[in-house]
Amino acid sequence: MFESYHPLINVIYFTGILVLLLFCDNPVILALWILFSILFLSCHRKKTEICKIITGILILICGMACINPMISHNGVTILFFMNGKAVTLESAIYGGYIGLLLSSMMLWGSCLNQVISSDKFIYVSGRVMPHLALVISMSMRFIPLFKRKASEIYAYQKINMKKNRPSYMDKLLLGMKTFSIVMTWSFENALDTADSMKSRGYGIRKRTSYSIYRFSLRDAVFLSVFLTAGILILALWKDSGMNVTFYPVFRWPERNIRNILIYCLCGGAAGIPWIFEIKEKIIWNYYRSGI
Amino acid sequence: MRFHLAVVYGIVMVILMLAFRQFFVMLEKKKQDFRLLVVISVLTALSVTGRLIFAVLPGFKPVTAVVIISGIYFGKEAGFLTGSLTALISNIYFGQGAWTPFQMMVWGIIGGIAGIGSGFLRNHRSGLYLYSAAAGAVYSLLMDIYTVLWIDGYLNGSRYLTALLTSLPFTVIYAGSNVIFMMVLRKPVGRKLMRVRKKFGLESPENVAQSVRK
Repeated sequence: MFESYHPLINVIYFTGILVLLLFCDNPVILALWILFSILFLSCHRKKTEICKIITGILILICGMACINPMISHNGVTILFFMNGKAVTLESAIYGGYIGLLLSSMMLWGSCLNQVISSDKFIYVSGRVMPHLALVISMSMRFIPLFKRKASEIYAYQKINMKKNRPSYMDKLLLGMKTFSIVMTWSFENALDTADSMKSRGYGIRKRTSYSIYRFSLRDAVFLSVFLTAGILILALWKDSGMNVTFYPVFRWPERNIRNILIYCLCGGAAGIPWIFEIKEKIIWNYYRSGI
Repeated sequence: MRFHLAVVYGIVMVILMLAFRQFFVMLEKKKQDFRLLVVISVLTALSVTGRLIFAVLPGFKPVTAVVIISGIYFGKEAGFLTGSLTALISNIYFGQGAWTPFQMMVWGIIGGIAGIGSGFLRNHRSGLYLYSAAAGAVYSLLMDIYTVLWIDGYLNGSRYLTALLTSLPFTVIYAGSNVIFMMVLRKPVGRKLMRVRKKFGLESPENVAQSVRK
């Protein structure tokens, strides 16, 4: 499974995907990426959620395709006139393309949330900046604590208010009051923690920290393959005419071996998490069938 | 090729890195201030919690107010760190994405500027309100730039205008809510932070001198 790889690999992978997303202007590649991210998410989420995601994407794409022609009037294929301005096919296509781009961004965002858990994130940032990791992990611990405290205080204050149906304003004031009380309490609490950490010798020497991650051969192989693929994509992309032009006329890039190779590489790069997931499943089923 | 966007991302990352580095260099110099780290994580946690509590009311969030206040009372580095970490951590709950670094930078800068102008903002109430309203507006303006850059790959004037217009009600609520939160939080929170600073000895020497002079 892709989650079981070293956190550094996960982070590099998603950064690489983001960079490729920034540089690749091509609807086919975006569609491939959306497909693979949905496939990956479908291994982790319920079916109803996936249906919701797919309808969301379709709505976004159609919506952008409808809205964009109202804003931009570039393009030569005029569909009809509205308020004396031309509504063109090209800008509708471009709108749809933007929909694709935005939805692929969101989908890869949720894949990232799936793979990189907060402890992995803290581990990676701790390698770069240990103080920063400490601050992040402390605030992540404080949030549920404060939330629990806030709900306790809120409940108490609500009873104290002696009103059956508090108005919007009342609720607002109550919220603010709760916030203020939680703040006082949290500073006292946190600085006590700070003092106790200090008295136990925090900051005297370099801290060591336990982590379950190890950089293995598998990670190294993956990293080198992925980086080579990424560099290859960017190198092949350069003046290959793969960037689709939308204005004045929408034109597909030509189909030649080089471009097909780029499609395969991009699809392969995006398919990695899903392929690993499926591989695990097949192995699992194989062993089960043996029993 | 979204070349402009890539350049903007590069700049954003460099700014974030430099600001973080600056903060930790400051920490090393001052020696005492592991406590400052704890204070910052509390402030961050508070503003994230605030964002979560008020998640039901769209656009109505205490984040900017908390970030500005922390900038004012704990200096520009602390303000920047609180702002940017709030963006980072709250997005774990609200959804991480390519907008995170951009949001981190914008909130960080809001906090950092509050720290730079802390003397002025502490003494001029109306200036503070104006700044928090402006921070809300600037947040919207900058985030819209980001949206447009993503969509077109360069700053398309007409689309930027449309984005601004569609987000206008949101911007107004946001700026207004910042001022309201400032009005409510300024005094009590300010008092609390001053107390925390005194009680736990977070005063920097020049500040002590200042308060003695007063």
